[in-house]
Amino acid sequence: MTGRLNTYLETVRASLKLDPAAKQVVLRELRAHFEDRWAELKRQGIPDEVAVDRVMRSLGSPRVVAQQLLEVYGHGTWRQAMVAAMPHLIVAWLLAIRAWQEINWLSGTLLALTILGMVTVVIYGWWQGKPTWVFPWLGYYTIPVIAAGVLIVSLPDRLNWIAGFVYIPLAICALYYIVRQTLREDWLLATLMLLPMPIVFTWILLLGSTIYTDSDLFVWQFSTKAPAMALSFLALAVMSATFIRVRQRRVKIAALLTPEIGIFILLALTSENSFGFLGWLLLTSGSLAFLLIPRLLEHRLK
Amino acid sequence: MNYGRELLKGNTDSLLLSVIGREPMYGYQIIKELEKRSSGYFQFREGTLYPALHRLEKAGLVTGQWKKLPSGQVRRYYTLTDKGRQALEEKLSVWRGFSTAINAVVSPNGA
Repeated sequence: MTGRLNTYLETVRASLKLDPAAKQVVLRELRAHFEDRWAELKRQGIPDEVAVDRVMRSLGSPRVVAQQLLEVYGHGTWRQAMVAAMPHLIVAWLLAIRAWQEINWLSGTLLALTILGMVTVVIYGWWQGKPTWVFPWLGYYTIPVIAAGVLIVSLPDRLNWIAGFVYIPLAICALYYIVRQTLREDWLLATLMLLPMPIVFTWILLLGSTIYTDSDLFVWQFSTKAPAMALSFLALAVMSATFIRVRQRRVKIAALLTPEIGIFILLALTSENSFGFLGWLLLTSGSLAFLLIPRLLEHRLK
Repeated sequence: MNYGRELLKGNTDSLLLSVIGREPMYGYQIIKELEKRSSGYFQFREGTLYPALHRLEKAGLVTGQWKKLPSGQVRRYYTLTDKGRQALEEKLSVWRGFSTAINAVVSPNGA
């Protein structure tokens, strides 16, 4: 019984592109139903194989079941959309109030509470079976990997080898591991998680070159660009909320990828054309390609 | 088109709410109860029961909760919410009106 049941449940699992928490509930329920029906048939003296056949027939096609569940869970509630948008809104807010300019007990406490809140939300979300709204929060756990990498590249020449030989391979392995774990559910969730990374990477590229050479210039540039940075994170918040609310998968993909181009236009406008058109084109297409990597990885893993 | 199946599809929510309204039940129990109370007339494609239950739960008409049976097995019990009870009453009221009208039209003496 177990082998055929597992195959059935695996087909449902593979076809169910939805919230991991909801998916877990459905699979447990189907397994329980299968066990109850099978036990009843066995009590009637029906042989194992015939009983399994009957249970399968009564449950119907696993793909149809998955499709019907997708119609139910295709979109989240407004509350879930708000929770998904929250980490981007917090970052946008911190940038908008220029939280780094005046570190006193109030701003320090707010910052500490924000970080503590982010950790708590992720732990709670993980404990709840990784619902969709937890992935935008998870994305911020991968940002230090990128940030540290870019900063290491900007180190004086003699120390660059640290980035080349140690940090970058380790960072790629860590990211690959995290994305791979997420891909077990759905590549779109991995993309939702990685959403802020190209934006953060580009902002660091824009500002990071001055951090070692001229700290005053860095602070000045950071302050000047803070409103635009806040706006780009606000756009990420809208993208995440839209992703949760819309029902159709194609629209979800469009909600994640299309506004990214808009953010890069904003980046180009505020960078005073320091990348040039070709640079901008490369960064934009590179970031879109980066967001589509989970799709390719999922295909390869399967 | 199977007329009976279409009727069942259109009234799935009322039937499920009605059964769950009597006492909290889990999926397999609901199927058995429906079969029993309809003397075997209603036979659900069992796999489609769960999408229907989850749709009702998402609409706030029922809540699902895992509970341990005396045997040690864990099952997800569905309970009717206040909103669900209200929805059931409305659906039943519409259904009674509808069936009365149908009966009145199709009965041989027209009353």
